[in-house]
Formats: sequence, structure tokens, C-alpha cells
Amino acid sequence: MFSNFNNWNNMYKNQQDMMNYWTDFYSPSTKKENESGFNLPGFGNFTAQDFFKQQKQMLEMSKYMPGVDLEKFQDFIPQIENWQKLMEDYNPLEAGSMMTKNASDVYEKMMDSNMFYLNLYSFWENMTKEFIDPKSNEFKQEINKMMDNYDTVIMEQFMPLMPQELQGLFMNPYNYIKNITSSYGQFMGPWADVSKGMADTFAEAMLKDPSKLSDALKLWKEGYDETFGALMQSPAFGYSREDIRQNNKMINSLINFLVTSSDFFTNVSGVVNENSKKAIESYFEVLEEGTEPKTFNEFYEFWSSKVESALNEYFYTDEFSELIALTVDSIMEFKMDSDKFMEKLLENIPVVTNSEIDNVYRNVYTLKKEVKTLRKELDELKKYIKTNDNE
Amino acid sequence: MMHQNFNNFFDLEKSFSEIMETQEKLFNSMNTMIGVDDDGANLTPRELIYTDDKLKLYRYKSQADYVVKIPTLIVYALVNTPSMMDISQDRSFIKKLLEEGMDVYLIEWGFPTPDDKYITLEDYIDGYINDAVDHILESTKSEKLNLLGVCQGGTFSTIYTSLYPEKVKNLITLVTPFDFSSDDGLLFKWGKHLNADNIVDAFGVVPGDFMNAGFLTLSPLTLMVNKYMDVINDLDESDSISNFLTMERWIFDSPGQVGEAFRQFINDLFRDNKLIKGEMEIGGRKIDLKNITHPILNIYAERDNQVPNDASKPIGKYVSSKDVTTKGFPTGHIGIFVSGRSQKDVAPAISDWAKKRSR
Repeated sequence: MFSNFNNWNNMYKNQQDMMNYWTDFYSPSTKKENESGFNLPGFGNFTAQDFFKQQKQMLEMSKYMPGVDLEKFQDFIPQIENWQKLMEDYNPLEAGSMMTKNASDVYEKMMDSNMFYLNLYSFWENMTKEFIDPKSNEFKQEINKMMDNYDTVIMEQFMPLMPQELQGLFMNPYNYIKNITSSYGQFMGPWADVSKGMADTFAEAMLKDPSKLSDALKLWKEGYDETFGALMQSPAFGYSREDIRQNNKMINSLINFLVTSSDFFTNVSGVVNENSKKAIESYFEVLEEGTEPKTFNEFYEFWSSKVESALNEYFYTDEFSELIALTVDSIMEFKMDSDKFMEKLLENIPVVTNSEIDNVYRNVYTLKKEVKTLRKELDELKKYIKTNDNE
Repeated sequence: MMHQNFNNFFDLEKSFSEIMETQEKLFNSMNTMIGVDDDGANLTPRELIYTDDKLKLYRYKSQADYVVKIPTLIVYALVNTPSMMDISQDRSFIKKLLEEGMDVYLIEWGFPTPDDKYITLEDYIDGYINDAVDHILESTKSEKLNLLGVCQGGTFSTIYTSLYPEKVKNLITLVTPFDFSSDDGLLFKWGKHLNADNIVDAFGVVPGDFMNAGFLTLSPLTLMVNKYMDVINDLDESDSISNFLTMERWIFDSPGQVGEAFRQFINDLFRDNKLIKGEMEIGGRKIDLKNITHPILNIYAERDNQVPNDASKPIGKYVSSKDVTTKGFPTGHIGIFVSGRSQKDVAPAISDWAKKRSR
């Protein structure tokens, strides 16, 4: 449970160091002007040694920053030197000379801090370009790792430290957000997976090949099956749970039927379209030979014989045999589900439903068979008695 | 070169003339269509001699001086109605058999209603057919009869013969499927993939219209478009239109398929091909085709688009009979009953064969 406790200590220490750093940086120095005469305007007695000391502290801190390559910091030194030079050359237009000593100090500090901010921005910008961006993927991975560990840290190290009364207060929103994120991912994930292909296929169907429409629908169905379809098939609850369940089942079957029959008709019309095109091409060929159909009737016969022959060929494929079986099956599934739904609706109306009368059908069938068998036995008995009487 | 052809590629005069002719026929059709009837079927005189639930057993009145003593029972398929065998007086297959001296009986299965959904193949073969056979044998005081099975009715007749060999004299099968492993016909190809269980569970009694939609899909352009375009050419001839409408009525006046029987037929035969494998059971009894030692006349249509020749022809391989005649005619599945060749060749071939074996 406390396996990462040292990390927390490190983190708190680093934060403390950082705060100290910033405090030192902005506090007026109590030291005298340094001996080297290296004086930075506007920072009181802030010395070059102080600056390098702070740089060193920054480097020390950076050890704990994720994704930062220390070796790269060697390249960073010229940048720092440039920055120093800039600070040396800085002259705030002698504005401070017009002020009292105190006001002049404040003014110079304002100007210097502004310049410092701007230069720091340039420094950060360069650093980002040269060091952080190329490492951004690694950085993201580190962040993700950190996020993964975050759960563990929160649950195993942070929560036990909180008073029990407050744990619920923290845990409820935490779980809530976590569940929302997870559900959202589960629901949107399948659509995200198919959306690109679906959009491409749909565009292809619209712009180039209409037969691709059923492919786009199939992809849509994949997304549906994993999301809404799964919901439709999940158990319902409450007062009307059976009605809801049957209603959902019927809608699910309807969607399945629509997608399957769309596939069926797209495939068949695809064969018709393709072979109509071929028939027209053949027509131009016979036109060359001078044996083309001369009237519309002849042309229709020419076209229909070619298309029918192509359809016949397609109908004989295993693909079509399976497709027609699947289509018929989807119609049957839909019919059964919609019949059941209708029967649920009629439940409280004085109308006898198919399911209710089915028992009667079965009983009548069984009784009829029994009567026939008994009648035959009776006839045989009569014959037997008659024969015996005659003897 | 191509440009010149383009200029001449339509015979405008002929096209215009065709269009005008079609328009004229369409206008004239109003006169032709008024008063035309579609009742040309089932006009050969017959008598209802027995009923059992929706089954009706007819005996046709003889039309010949000499009538063969052995009665012949026609067992039609459950799909469509047998009126196709007596479609019109000038093309009636049954009438021709009568003229040839056959004593003809016919089972009409009727139109199943939802309460029939539990009827099984056992009920059809072991129940209805057997009871009809018993009734004929008893009423004619015969020991045996000829069974003439059509399409699915041929499969039923074959199964019946294996179950009750003592009641059958000769077995005649027309355009009948035995070996369902064939992939040559679309129905056979598609049938193997169909989920018959769901179809039966959804409908109970599978509607005739649903079956027809399947049949129309076999040749959608020919059956749904071209056929009706062609009929325009005959619009000025009332007889032709009457024949067309009678056929049209037969095609779409289709009985539903009883669920449980349909389920077993598709699963056991189309899917598992159990009959020729010796694995099929009716009422708990295995169907052994080797029980069939009877003379068999097996007729198939060479251009059959519903029952492939591969499925019809090989019955001889699976029975014990030494007298198997397999004969093909250059026509289609329906043409074998309604075409000119049916009158001229098919019916006489059957009666000749049966007469020789009915003494």
C-alpha cells in the first residue's frame, strides 16, 4: 500500500525547493555587490554566482521532470549566455534617473521584471522547440503512465490518509467520472472504429459505386451491434419490462432485416446494372457488325436475355444461396418478433391471439388422429364380428 | 464507319409500326378481356367419392370403350393444385389418360388453414394417402392400384410404395425428385441453405404467396416482366387470353404448406437427402427403398428448371425393382402436363406402359 511513499516525499521536497527558489529569486539580496563587478541591473545585489546557483538548482530539479534529457542541457548553455548578455546590455531609457531613488528602484524592477518575463518566454519557446517537442510523444507516454499510476496512488496512498467521513465525498465523484468515461468509451469506441470506413464507403457509394451502400450499412450494423443493438437485447426492467423487451427485440430484428434485405437488393441490382452496361457494350459491338436489334422489342429481348442469363449465373453461386437464405431468415425473425409484439399489445383486448389458439390447434390435431385410429379399430372389430357371426 | 452505323441502327419505320400495333392491341383488349374467363380447368367430368378433412378424392368418368381394371391414383404435390393436369379440355392430361382407357382417381389436398399446422408427412403418407388407397381398393374390390405421383407427390408415392408394397401394382413418377444432393436446380441449391425451422415457426402454415415469391425469383425477368409483355401479342385472341388467365390462376392460386410437413420435407430431403441414404423415417419407420420391387415408369422433363434431371433420373439405383423405365421428354416441368407434346406423347406413353402391366 505504501510502496510509492518515497515518491510523495520527493514530490513534496521538490515543491518546497521550487518555492524556495522563487522566493530567493525575487527577494532583495542582503549581499554586497559582488567582487567580479558582474552586476545585473534591477535585481539589487543579485549576483552572477546567485544566478548560476539557481541554474544549478533548476538542473537538479529537472532530474525529477519527466521526459527531460539532461545531456541536452549542455546545448542549452549558449542560450543562457545570450540571455546574460541581453540583461547586461539592457538600458531602460534612463527613465529611472528622473525619479527619486526609491521610485527609481521600483520602476527599474518593474521594467526589469517585464524584460525578464519576455526573455524567459523566448527562452521557454526555444526550449520547447528544441527539447520538449521532439520528446512530446515520450512525454505523453510518461503522462499516461503517470495517469495510470494516479489511480493506484489515489486509492492506495491518498485515500487511506483521508478521514473516513470524507472518503465517500471524494470517492463518489471519482467513481462517477470513471464510470462515465468508461461507458462513454465503450459506447463511442465501436462507432469510432467503424466511422472512418463507414464514411469512406458511403462516399464511395454516393460518388462512384452504388453497390457499396450495403457495405456502408454493414459497417453501420457493426457499430450498432456493439452499442444500441447490445442495449436492445439487454433485459428490461420495471412495470412494462416484458413490453419493452419485446419492443426492443422487434426493433433489433427490423434493423437486421433492413440491413440484410438492403444487401440482397443491392447485390441483385448490382448484377442487373453491371450486366445492363455489358449488354449496351455488346450492343455497340453488334452494331459494328451490322447485326444489331433493329426495333425496341428486339433490343429489349437482347438486353433481357443477357441480364437474365447473368442473374441466373449469380443465383447459382454459393454467395447468393447464402444471401437469400439469410434474407429470408431475417424476414422470419422480424415476423416472429413483430407478431409477439402485436400479441402483447392485444393482450388486454378481447381478441384471441395466435399463441392462445395454438393449444387448441394442437389438441384438435391430436384428437382427430385419435378418433381416426379408434374408428379404424372399430371398423376392424365390426368386420371381425360380422365374419364370426357369418361363420 | 461507326458513325454510319449509328445513323442506321434503328429501323424507325418497323419500330413505329410495332408500337402502333401494340397500342391497337391494348385498346382492343378491352373488348377481348370483357367476358373472357379463367375457368377452363377441372372441366373433365368427375365424381367426389371420398373426403377426409380437407382432402377430396375424385373418380373421373371413363371416356373409353375399354377401361383398364387396375385403378390409377394420381398423387399430386402439396405445392399448387392438380387443376394443371386438367387445365383445359383441349390440353387436359387427365382427359387424355381417360381416353386411353385408364381408370383415374385424383387426390386434391385442398387449402390448409392455420389449424392444420401440425400435420406431418406421416399424416399425409401413412394417413391420407393410405386411407384414400384403402377406399379405392375397397370400392373397386381391387387388391392393388397404380400410383401416379407428380413432383413432390411422386416422392410421396415412392415412400408410400416402400411402406405398403402390397397395395401398389405399378409406380409411375413424373418430374419427381429422389436424389436431393443435386445442385443443378436453383430450388435445390437454395433449399439446402434455408432455415425451414424459422419459416415454419414464423408462419405455422407457409403461405402460398410466400412460396410463389420464391418461384418467381428463379427467373425474375421472364416470370415477372417478359411473360406479361408477350401476352400483349395474343390480346386479340380470346382463347389465348383465356388459356393464359387459366394458367395464371393456377400459378397464383396456391395452397399454403402445412408447417410440420414442410419442415420435415426441407430438412430431411433438401438439406440431408435422407431418402436415398435410407435414413428417412415416417412415423418412426425407416423408409427402405429396397422394398420397392414394382415396375416403375419414371418420367422426367429434359428442360425442367425446378426438379433437375440429376435428382429425377437415378431412382432405379435405389430400388429392388428389375423393371424400371426412365424416360425423358423435351419439355419443361409444367410443359410435361400442358404442352402439345403432353397430349401427343406423354399421356399415351404412360397409358401404354401401365396397360401392359395392369393385367
